[in-house]
Amino acid sequence: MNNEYILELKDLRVGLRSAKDGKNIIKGVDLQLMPGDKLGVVGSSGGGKSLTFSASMGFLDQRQWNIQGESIYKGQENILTMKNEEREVFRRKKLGYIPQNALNSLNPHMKIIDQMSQNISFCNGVSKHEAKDIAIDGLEFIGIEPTRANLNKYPHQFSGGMRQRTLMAMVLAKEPEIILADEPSSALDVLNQARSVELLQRLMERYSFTMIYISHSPGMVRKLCNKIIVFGQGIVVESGDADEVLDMPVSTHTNNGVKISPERTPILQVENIWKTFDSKEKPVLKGVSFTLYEGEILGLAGVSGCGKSTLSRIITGIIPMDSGNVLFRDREIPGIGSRDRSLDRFPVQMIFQNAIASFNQDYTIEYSLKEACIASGMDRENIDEEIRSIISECDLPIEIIKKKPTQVSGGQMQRLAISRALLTKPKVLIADEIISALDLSTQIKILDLLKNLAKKRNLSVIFIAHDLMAVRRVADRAVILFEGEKVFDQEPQKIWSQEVHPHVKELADAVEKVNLNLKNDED
Amino acid sequence: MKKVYISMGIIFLLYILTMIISIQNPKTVNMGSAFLPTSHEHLLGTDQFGRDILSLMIYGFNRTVSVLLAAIAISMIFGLILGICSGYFGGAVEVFARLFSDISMIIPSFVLALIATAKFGANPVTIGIVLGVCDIGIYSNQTEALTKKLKDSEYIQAVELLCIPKTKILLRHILPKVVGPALTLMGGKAGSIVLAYASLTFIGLGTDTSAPDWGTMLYQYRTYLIDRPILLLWPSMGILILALIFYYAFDNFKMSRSREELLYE
Repeated sequence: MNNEYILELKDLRVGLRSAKDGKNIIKGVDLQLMPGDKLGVVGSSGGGKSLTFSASMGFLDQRQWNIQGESIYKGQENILTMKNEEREVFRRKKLGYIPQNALNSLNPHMKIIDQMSQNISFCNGVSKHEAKDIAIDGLEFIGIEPTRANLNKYPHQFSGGMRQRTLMAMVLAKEPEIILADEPSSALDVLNQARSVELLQRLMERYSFTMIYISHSPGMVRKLCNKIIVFGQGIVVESGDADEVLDMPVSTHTNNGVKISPERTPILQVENIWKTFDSKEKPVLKGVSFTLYEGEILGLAGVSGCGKSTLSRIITGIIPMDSGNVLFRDREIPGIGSRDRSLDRFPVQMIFQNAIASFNQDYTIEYSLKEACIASGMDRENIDEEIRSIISECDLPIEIIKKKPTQVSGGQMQRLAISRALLTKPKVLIADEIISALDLSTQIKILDLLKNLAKKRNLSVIFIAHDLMAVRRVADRAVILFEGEKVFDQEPQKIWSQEVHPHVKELADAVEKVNLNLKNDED
Repeated sequence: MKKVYISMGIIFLLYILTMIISIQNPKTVNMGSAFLPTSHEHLLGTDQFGRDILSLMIYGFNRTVSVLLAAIAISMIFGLILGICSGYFGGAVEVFARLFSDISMIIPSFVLALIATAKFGANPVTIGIVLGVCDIGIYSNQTEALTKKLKDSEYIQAVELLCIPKTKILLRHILPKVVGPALTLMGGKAGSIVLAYASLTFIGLGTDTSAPDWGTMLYQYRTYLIDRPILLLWPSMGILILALIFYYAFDNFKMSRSREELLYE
């Protein structure tokens, strides 16, 4: 027996006692894990991933399951032959289990903070009070502000992603040696999956633990794990270092879905936004979620009344949402008047549809620009220079700043609005139908300007429009809303593909009818 | 704006002048010169006590303008502050502001003025303060409504997004736009303040009935309505003209106008 391994599986076989043919589902698994390893377990459904590890941790009832072989912890004890009390202690103190569906694992009748404290105090043996503090730290770590409102919430009041991360926080609060994560993000949408991954990465930096991460997404496994085993039909089909296995797939199992998207960090997360205006009965937004990645231009489109503008105002914090979250790099964006809102913590700016109205018409443009500079903390001496450089970058003559908004054309005003936003060095820009009121040639110019600026400064942009052609011209990805729900979230070209929501098809057809040059588009 | 500068300038100038220069002591009684018509010495003639009416008018003007200044200052300054804060911040401030303005408008200013003079003596400033306090509500209501409307406008949203500090927003982006309508309101109310003061002095508010107020003059000359109506003419005209000047000056007042607006004026 080798004392180095924190977990070793020797010829593990698992089968149902009731199975008539006596065949095993898991037909002999061998595995060695060093402390600190992060093992990714992949394979198609039914391959035996979850079963193997549930068995190895002693979760399976041996009256129903026939388990043979050994699962050795720290080279000393076979988990499978532990006495019940011993196994319980092991599971309580050494093992952390993150299951697939968080909602089922949380008590709906208890507030989240209470559950966490209870769990922590039980597992770590600390007092309830200490446990509560640890729980609060945990919540903060996963990006949930420990406000009064949040601490009093019940599981169903958290979004799916938040619940999952809460579970992770609970597990990690007891600092286990081994973490078994059984498809923890499969039930979540893409954005939440990404966040869970991020959280785990951060945790890996903080604590050292061994992790077994079961997933059917090779991409996530690649991000988190240094080793991989691939399951297929009850046996280990491949194993080795994560990068090697994924880059040079030998068997067909790994081939499935190896196309891993390039490194993208989410910068803005919109989670499950609901909003109903008091005067209306129907909700304007019904659980809209999407992610904005760093450096990308996301086109948000849809017909009038679909909720785009409301969503943009909720994202920036101008109006409050009924439920849901908007997170900038994992921090909830506070509302516009709030004290926590500052330009460097939340560099999110908006460019309005009516550019002239978005400036105080009694003051010169120079005044408004300087005002923005001062608010962003620029030094006095640099202000003139900064303004000069941004004005020229936006292709405007410098004298224009001496004028008042009403003396300037719509297109120029829109550029000035962009300049003002840029002066505060934002990371996220929300352009709310900024070109709708302009003529075609000006529209194109502004679109190109926006695209250039975004790429130059690595800005992330949410470009709201009802014109799909504009979206196609400028966006890397498109999200389409219909009656308050998201019906499309892919690259703009896919709008014209076949497998889309009927409303999207309607829009695509309508655009084709209006724009005869669709096929000859220069890009 | 121009008419404001001119008219207010004139009034203010006269106000200062009349404080410094005294033409003839209006209290000088000379029974022998009663009811004299217009002459070099008495540009407006004399009254039943031989007092120079012009001097009486001038002093009355001075005291009336004092009342006006005090009332306007109090009601506008506090009305604007209260209105802006309650409109922008809402919540407790709004509740308080509304309560205060409701109360101040319910309490009859007249009665309050009488009570105040009983306590503090009948001088124009006191009366002005009381009248001003009673009018705060009107300014605050209007300002609050305007501020609320402005708060929803895009330029305010934009400026809030830029994290410009609230004091700056209130002072630079809201105040200039609410002052105009407040001043217009003031122009309309100036007349009623002048009239209120005249009424107070008419009923003999002051213990010193020889104090040269327009209202007092009206009281003292009322018996001569049929015989010598011209006596009543002067103070009445004074009230009318003063009120009209304010009304005219501040009608549709705007802080600044762009060249285009001036073009279409």
